[in-house]
Amino acid sequence: MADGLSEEQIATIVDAYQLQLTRYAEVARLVEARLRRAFRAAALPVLLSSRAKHPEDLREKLRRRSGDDPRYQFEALVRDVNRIVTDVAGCRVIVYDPRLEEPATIVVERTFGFDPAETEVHRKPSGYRATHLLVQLAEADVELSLRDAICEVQVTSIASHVFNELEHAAQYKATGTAPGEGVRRVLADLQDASRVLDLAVERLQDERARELARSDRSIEDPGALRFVLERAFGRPVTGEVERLFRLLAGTIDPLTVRALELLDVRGVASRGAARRAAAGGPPDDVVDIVLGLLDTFRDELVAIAASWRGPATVVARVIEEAQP
Amino acid sequence: MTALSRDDLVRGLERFGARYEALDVLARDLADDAPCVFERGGRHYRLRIHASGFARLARTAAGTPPGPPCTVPTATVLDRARPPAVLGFLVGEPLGDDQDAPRRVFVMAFDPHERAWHAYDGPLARLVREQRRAADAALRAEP
Repeated sequence: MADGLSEEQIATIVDAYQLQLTRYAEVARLVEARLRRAFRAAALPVLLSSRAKHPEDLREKLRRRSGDDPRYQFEALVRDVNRIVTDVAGCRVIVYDPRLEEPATIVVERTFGFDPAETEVHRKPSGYRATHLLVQLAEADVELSLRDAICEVQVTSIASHVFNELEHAAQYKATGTAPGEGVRRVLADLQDASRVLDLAVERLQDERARELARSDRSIEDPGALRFVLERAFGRPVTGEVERLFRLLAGTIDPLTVRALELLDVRGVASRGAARRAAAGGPPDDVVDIVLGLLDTFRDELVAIAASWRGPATVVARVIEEAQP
Repeated sequence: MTALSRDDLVRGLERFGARYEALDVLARDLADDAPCVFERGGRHYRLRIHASGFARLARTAAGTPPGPPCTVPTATVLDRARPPAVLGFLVGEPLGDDQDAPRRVFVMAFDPHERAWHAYDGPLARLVREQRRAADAALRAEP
């Protein structure tokens, strides 16, 4: 076990961190803003928040970890605390349906060009459940002062979030004393309750899907389209669902579950996937569907994509490149 | 206020050649009480107006009697929901064998300066989709 940092050393590190606090707050805000756009494009409903770690929380973490973690060396921490304490800038992504944790993680990975092999999926004995990604703002379009800063993105379900936060507070933040038998027992109840809530959300979503399929109601927004596609594919879908919705709503009326069945959306995606794979493109369900639709809707999709303003999107590029 | 001439309507319907069988627009956007049956470029067209406030342009056979002028209703169910843009809905074939199946459509907005139709995938079409479907069913049932 390494020697812990002294209180004087911790104070020096925290003082140095306070001078950088605005930078880390800006990094976290920038990551949140980019993710907000990406999740909107994916039509994936999430709650987003970001923050720079409070100096007193950093002080507490340094006290707790410095005796156990050999990376917590005074010189390294003073030089660049962000290299060691990677969550000084943090962004949290909360999904309602726990099954969306994985597709939400894929959105984060793609937004920041993150290597999926470095994604950490946590399922700790303590009950902590979340996926962590350390994204780095390295692009040329990022302000120089923010470049190379690390921001930890945590993806979790809303039920797990409640448990994670309360468990963390009970374990580390309360009084400096270890939680007693009573607190441990209630935490176990809370963990069970959070799993029950996760399952209830899954059941609710499945029931909504069944009702939507039976009712022949129109699919009125991108979120509903994602919802329907995930049931048709039997798994989460990737890609710019918001753009796909605009293409489908502009070419099929009414856009219903039945319409997607008549279209044979799975067969369409399968044909598109073969083309995408032949061209060497990365897996993307929306791209696959769009490539498959080009057989029958080419002129219409080209016209719609040509009307889009703003930054080029993956779907717009795919349609443009597919033009004869 | 933009008024769609018969030429504007024909340009919209023929945008993709024969792929679409009809063009639905809001009757309040039509230019005048011109004849319902007319000819452009050697092709014959028929305009019908539904009480809901939708007008449908479709191709028709040569020799179709001209009939009375197409009178635009003064008050329709669309008055409370009408979008602040000139929209057109190209109506194509059903996706399945059933005539009631969802259909191919193409939503457009009319640019009065260019006098041209452009693809439209904004939110305004949603305001009148239900009424257009009701008009579609009624117009399809008519001879």
